[in-house]
Order: sequence, then C-alpha cells, then structure tokens
Amino acid sequence: MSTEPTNLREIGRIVAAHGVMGEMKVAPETDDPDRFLHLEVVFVGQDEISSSIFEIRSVRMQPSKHGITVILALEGISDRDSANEQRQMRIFARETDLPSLNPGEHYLSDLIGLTVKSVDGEVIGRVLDVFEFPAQHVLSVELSDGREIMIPAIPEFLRNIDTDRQVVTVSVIEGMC
Amino acid sequence: MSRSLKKGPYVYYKLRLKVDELNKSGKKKVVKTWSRASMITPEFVGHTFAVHNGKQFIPVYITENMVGHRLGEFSPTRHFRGHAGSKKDKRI
Repeated sequence: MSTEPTNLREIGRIVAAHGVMGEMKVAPETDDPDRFLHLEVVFVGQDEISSSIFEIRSVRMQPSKHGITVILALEGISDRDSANEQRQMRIFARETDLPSLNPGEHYLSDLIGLTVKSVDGEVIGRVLDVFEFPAQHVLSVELSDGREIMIPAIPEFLRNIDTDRQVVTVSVIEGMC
Repeated sequence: MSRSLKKGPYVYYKLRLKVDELNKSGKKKVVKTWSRASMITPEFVGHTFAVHNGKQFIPVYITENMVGHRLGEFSPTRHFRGHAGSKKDKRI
C-alpha cells in the first residue's frame, strides 16, 4: 500500500455484486457520490490498515430507493464470484484525491473529542459524536457531570469550530442542558 | 384525500399554547414534546423542539421549508450509528 492509513477517508461500502462482469453495488458514505467519478484508485478492505489498492475500471450512478447507488468496477475483479467476495468491504480514498475542505468546512469525524465551550468561554463538555438527522446534524455532547445533551449543528447554536485549538464554541439556550 | 381545510392542521393544544407564549415573550427556549403527529405551522419557525423518538429527545430547529411536515418526521426512531471509528468523507 502506498499511503498512510491515516490519510484515508471512507467513501462507501460494497453491498452486493452487480451483473456478471465483476461490477459491484456500493452504498456511498460520502456527502457527494459524484466524488467517485473523479477518482482513479480506491482502497478496499475491512479497515484502513488492511485495505488494498485497486484501480477503478468504471463508475456509474444508479438511482435506488435509498438514494444513489454507485456501480463500481475495479481492475482485477472481473467476474461475479470475485465481486461477491468483496461484499461488506469498505471503500476508502486518499484525502488528497478528494476535494479539499472549503474555508469553515470540517470533516464530521474531526469534531469528535473536541472540547465544547460556551460563548462566555466556560467549558461545557466534549463532543461524543455527530449524528446526521433529517433536519440537521446534531452534536452529542458529554457534560462534565456525565450527562449527555444534543445540540443542533446550525449557525444559531454552533458559533465556531477551531480544530487547531480543539475547541467548539456553542450558544446554549434554556432547555438544552 | 388530505385532511379537511375546515379542520385545519393538527397541533397538540398544549404545544400550540407554549409556542404562542414564546412568540409573545420573544424568548428562545427548547420545547420538549412527545407530540410527533403535530404539524409544523409557520408560528414554529425559528424555535427549537426536543421531539421524543421513543427513547430520547432529538433537538429539531424549525426552518421555513419544514412547514407542513410533522415533527416526528425529523426525529427518527431507528438510527444506524455507523461503524465505530470510521473516518467518513462527510463534512459540515
């Protein structure tokens, strides 16, 4: 493998074989499935460390009841049996092959573990997880007393994210804590 | 056939009272509710509701494009949390 595992981002999960030519159905785990169209290589495996590099033979999009399914063909996987062996494997891409983050944009996984402070500078807790709910993303925050609260990740409440200082600044209203 | 126009949208009366009170006072406060069937009306816009999903309260900040939907649509009852420790290409 020619890249550090830490530089990989998960972009999808193989759910089934498709046809008899080695194509695979991939459930995208990325905000924009079109990112598959701009990649030349991907890494396939159960995790980042055990993944192997594959060149992409072809990519196309197919609408499905879950949204968009990516139909992916990789070099070296040319029949249905080989494609079936890859089921449930995860697909990773190098961070450098993905579009760079815009100013003020962050990866959801980078928020986990950051300290949460109020606008007054008071420490509230730390980010446990970030959920994708239908209305908006929601931060799950563990308070210093062990309780867990949820804060919608919208500009009204999420005032600033500083990954260098490892701090998320939030505005908390009555009833949230 | 949708609900009769004469009846108007269903909103749990206690929830309507709480929203009216918040709108009068201009205060911002999270409103806890179990009423997933209540329809989101224009008076709800800008308020945050903690909508119960059977296990916990999910905060939902109401925006204009949610009007006409029900509160429960934004508080999923089944939620796959994903594989632990995965660094997905999802951005905020």
